[in-house]
Amino acid sequence: MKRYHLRSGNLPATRKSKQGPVTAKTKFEPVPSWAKLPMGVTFHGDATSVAVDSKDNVWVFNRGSDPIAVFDKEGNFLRSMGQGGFDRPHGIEIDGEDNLYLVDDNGHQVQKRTKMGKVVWTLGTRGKPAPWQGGGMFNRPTDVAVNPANGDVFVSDGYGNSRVHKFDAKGKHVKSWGEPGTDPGKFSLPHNICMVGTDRVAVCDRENFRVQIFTTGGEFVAQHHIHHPMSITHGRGADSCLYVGEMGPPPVQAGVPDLGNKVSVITPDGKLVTRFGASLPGQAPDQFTAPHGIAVDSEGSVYVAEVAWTFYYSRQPKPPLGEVVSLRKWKRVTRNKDYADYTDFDLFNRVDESANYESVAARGYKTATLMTKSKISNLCNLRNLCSR
Amino acid sequence: MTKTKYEPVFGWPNLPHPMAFKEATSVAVDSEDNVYVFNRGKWPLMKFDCDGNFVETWGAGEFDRPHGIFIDHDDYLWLIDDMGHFVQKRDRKGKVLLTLGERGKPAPWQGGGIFNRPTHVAVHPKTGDVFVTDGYGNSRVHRFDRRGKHLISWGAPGSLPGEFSLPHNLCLMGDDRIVVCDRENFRLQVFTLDGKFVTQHHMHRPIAIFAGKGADTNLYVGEAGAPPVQAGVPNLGLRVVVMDRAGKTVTAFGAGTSGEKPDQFMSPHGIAADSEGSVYVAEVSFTAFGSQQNPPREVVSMRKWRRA
Repeated sequence: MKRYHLRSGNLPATRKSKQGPVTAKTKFEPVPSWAKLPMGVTFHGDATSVAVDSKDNVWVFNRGSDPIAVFDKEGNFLRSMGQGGFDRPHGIEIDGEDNLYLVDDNGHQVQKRTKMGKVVWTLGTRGKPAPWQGGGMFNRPTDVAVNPANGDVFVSDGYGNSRVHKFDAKGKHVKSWGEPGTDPGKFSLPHNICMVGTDRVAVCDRENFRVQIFTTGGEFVAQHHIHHPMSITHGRGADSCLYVGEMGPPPVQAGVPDLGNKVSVITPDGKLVTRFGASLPGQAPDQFTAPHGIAVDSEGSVYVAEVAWTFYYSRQPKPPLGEVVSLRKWKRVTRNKDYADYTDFDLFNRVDESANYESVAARGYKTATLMTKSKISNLCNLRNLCSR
Repeated sequence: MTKTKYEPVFGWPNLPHPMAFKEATSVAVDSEDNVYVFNRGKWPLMKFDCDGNFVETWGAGEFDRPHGIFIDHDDYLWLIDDMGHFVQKRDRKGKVLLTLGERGKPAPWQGGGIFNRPTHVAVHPKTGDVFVTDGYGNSRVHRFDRRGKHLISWGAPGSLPGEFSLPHNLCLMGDDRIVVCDRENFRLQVFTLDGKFVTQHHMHRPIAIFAGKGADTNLYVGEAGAPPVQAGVPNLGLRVVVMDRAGKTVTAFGAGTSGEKPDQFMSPHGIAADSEGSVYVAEVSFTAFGSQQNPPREVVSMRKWRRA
């Protein structure tokens, strides 16, 4: 059978999924105390950011004793690395070959490392910020996304720059876009970034309360209004949804229920599919305090890393003593078997922009025989959404 | 078609020494283009002509904390006292005609009652029905008939359509829509008069809104500045956006940086336009800026932009 990989050579192994798209009926339930931390290993209340590799191991780039901590999907501690290597961890991404991309905001640098921790390249110079809001690289960068089709790297930058920078796979600067402001294409604290398929990037424009969608060339495509979006990631395989971590409200609305501190699952064109998280912030398993980093594994489970100490507990009149919860796992309960074991390349690239059920079935793909007509049609719609 | 241009008027209005606003808070214009400034100084209601000449003052000691003023189609004044938890209808001389809520008696926080720190009022031009955003402690819009009888309330805390995070201002759009500044949700929400959600428009912290009168169907929206984490970053709010009824921007003015210069805003909080199309903006600039100076001082809190 002929396989269609329209845009690139290597199939990104990390994108495999056993799950279909999230729907309004999809349920997520919190897994209490998921991570098991050996005595002496601590996040200091700021697990900060999280990514999942091809084996469903979970990498937590955090502000505690062990900046890069690795767990298996049951939450067992595997190993750690990176001690002394960072000023302040902020964001992590893992590509299809399990390389790590690490963003250090106060260090003003972005690093690519192998999974063994060896530095492949470094962008920016540690401790040397570009001029504030000047457009250079970097001034407190926040997050990174990697295009599975060609390895291009996108960096949101960040607390001091209102820009997105694009690099090729070797780290060569290609272009930058954005400026301070509220109009389309401008930013007020671009805080997180992810790919949408292989031809769009989504940016959490945090203090503008919106997610902006761009082409990989930086052209504005759309904006989705959402409460204080702080973190974003894409679903895996046939799940084209975006997962957005919403920060709580500003101090003037402190204590008011149902303002942020939730994960919203949206379609690429911005429709709300489902949400989870309790009404108010806190330490209970179903609560959030500052969902700062987010990732999805091959089973569709969602990991959320929080800056619980920095953004929440340190600002309380009486901060609690000891460790506070800053890493969450929410298990996806329902499962759509028909989409099992297909990668997004299989599913998205077998159908082109004009595809429909008949054209997919006519090509004789196994998927067409496995899936119902409505599910194929749904898939075509998803593909078309991503390419629009 | 050329874009409508606005230019700032320096030093409007003229304040008889030693009268002061502390901060102007909110502004409204009557049918004769008199301008009423509801402020947090010792002279809570000050009236000026449109050239900025002082006319009269009243209301000393009668308010806990002025927050909003609206003038209806019959030139009655509606005054909102957020810390006092009440809304008052007065004639232009200051005589009280109707009071909604009870001074100093808040409804339970976020409980849906009337009121917990209400923010603004709008009156229907035909039926006289009264709509109140409520506010800092309630996430609601209340509707009353012209005599003050409560009809319905809608809203709840949240960020989904029909929910609010600090409903801070509102206006009628035509005679069948209510537009609410859902300030900390960074959006305007449009409702029917019965509270049914119609649509939302994304904006930067919309804090003040005014519907043009007569042939002017535009909406004038004041955008508040950015939160502390973005302090000093330019072009984040601090401007007035003029938009059509579909939410499309017609034009905007304001330097986009915080300061006391004629073309800058510090914290736009109330807005109104007169019959010539000039726009008045009242600011809570003492709260936002002046109170944090050493020593604290009163700063510019009233702006007029002339339609050129």
